[in-house]
Amino acid sequence: MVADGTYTAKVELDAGPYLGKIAGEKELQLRR
Amino acid sequence: MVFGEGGTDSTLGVVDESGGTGAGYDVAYVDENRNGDLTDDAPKKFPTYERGSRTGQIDPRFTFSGPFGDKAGAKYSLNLYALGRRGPATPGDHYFFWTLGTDDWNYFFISGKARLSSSAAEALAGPPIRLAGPCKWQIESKRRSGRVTVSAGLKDENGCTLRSVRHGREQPSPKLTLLKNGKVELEEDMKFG
Repeated sequence: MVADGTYTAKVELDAGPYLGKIAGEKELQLRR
Repeated sequence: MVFGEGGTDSTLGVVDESGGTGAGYDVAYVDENRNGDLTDDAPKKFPTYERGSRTGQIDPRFTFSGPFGDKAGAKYSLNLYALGRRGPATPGDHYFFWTLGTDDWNYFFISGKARLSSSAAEALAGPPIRLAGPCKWQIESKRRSGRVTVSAGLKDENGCTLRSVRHGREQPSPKLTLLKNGKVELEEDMKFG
């Protein structure tokens, strides 16, 4: 649980020989 | 269709209607020996469902060996399930899913769209479907009933989404990190599906 606000979301997956360690990020406005 | 990572390290394949135009797609040809000639590769006749409500209908899937990186013999499978419907297939986009197996890793992608062409010339002029090409994360948030959900999808250039990845018996999970002003506020393993 996090407070409302602006966050940087980072996602990472260690996906082996095809994709390797693949990461992405996006700025998200999280409001309930 | 082009399979493999692209460039010079690719495999060409086509799906066809062995009974003629309008008879229904029921066979694939894949240049598994990669000599640029599809006529010397064994046709991959699609199986038919033997049980259930689809008994007798085409199950439009096939498997083949192809290159992956500097290795040969990666196992690909493609299921053009939208072609399994009753009646003749219509030109245009049809959904498919595909898998890649290499070493002890297996990747399963869903929601791809394949465009059917009415001639080889038209097919070759259009964009290829490239399997095992680059992927990018798409990250988004949704608010519903006072809850916020963060989701992420790993998509390839055909629009396919990675549904699962397995390494032997393990299923690696994506890790989500939320940062606010550079400070980590949350770290969590995500789930596929």
